[in-house]
Amino acid sequence: MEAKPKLLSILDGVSVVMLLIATGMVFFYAPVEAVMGLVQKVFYFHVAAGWVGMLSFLTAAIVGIILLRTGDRKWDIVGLASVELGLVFSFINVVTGSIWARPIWNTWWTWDPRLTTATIMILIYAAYLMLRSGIEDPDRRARFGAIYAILGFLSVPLTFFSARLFRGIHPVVIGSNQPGAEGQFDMTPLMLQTFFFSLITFTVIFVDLLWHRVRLGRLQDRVEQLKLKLNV
Amino acid sequence: MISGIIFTLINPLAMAAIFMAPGLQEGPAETFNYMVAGFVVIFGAMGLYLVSLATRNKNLSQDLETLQKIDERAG
Repeated sequence: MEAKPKLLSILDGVSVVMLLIATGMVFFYAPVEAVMGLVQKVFYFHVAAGWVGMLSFLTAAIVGIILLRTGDRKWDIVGLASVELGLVFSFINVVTGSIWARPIWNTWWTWDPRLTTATIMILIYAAYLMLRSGIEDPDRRARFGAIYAILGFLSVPLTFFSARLFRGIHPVVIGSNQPGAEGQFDMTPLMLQTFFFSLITFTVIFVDLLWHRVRLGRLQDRVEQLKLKLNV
Repeated sequence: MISGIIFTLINPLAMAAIFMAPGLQEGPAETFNYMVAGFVVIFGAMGLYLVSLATRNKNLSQDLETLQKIDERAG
């Protein structure tokens, strides 16, 4: 087992401190929204989780391209780690959105374009994990993962722009809202600062978790190689 | 207009609406429980993922140690 790099330990500490500050800002710095009340506070981490989910899938697509160009299997470990993290954060995004929707839209779920495309995106990447686990040959599995991550990434911009392109009730955070959007609100400067700090915090957490997950992937790779060598 | 005011004053439902409306409309909605549920999901999912990473790491380290011992014995 390789020793934990000092920079990773520092990043762990920074992530924890930033998450504590972001949580403090959400509860004590940003004002309570005038109409929605306290549930609006979920919005800061809901959007940040959605952002990190999409960033993870973008990372998986980029390393997929690198893998196909170089043929180096180490990029497969990064791709798998990115997809796994993307699924965790997209899950947080969708579930917190559903919790927010209950008092605001009066329903836990509706087949709004944003919600529908986000669900399709999650299912596409969940299938990535299932399908690649069925491939025995590591090189073939890596190539399959890379191509799948690149093609699967088409669902990400579709999800991001769905609230802008199609008529729905999901509010748009940055840019102009659709006329039919419900639950939209104007952010005060304190809300905006909290929002952007949350985005940065979740991005730092993503980098930290990705590093940990890649280390785990390398360890898994070593175990697999040793098993193959010993034929166990 | 005067008849409207008189109607409102003698209509108990209209009077009740006038007195209750400020209580219903002023201030944000009561959504505390939903906020708690949201943060439970956020921190719960992140916590579970960290536990999953730690558990997998521990299991793989043990596997690697065992396999290395077998490899050494095999020469």
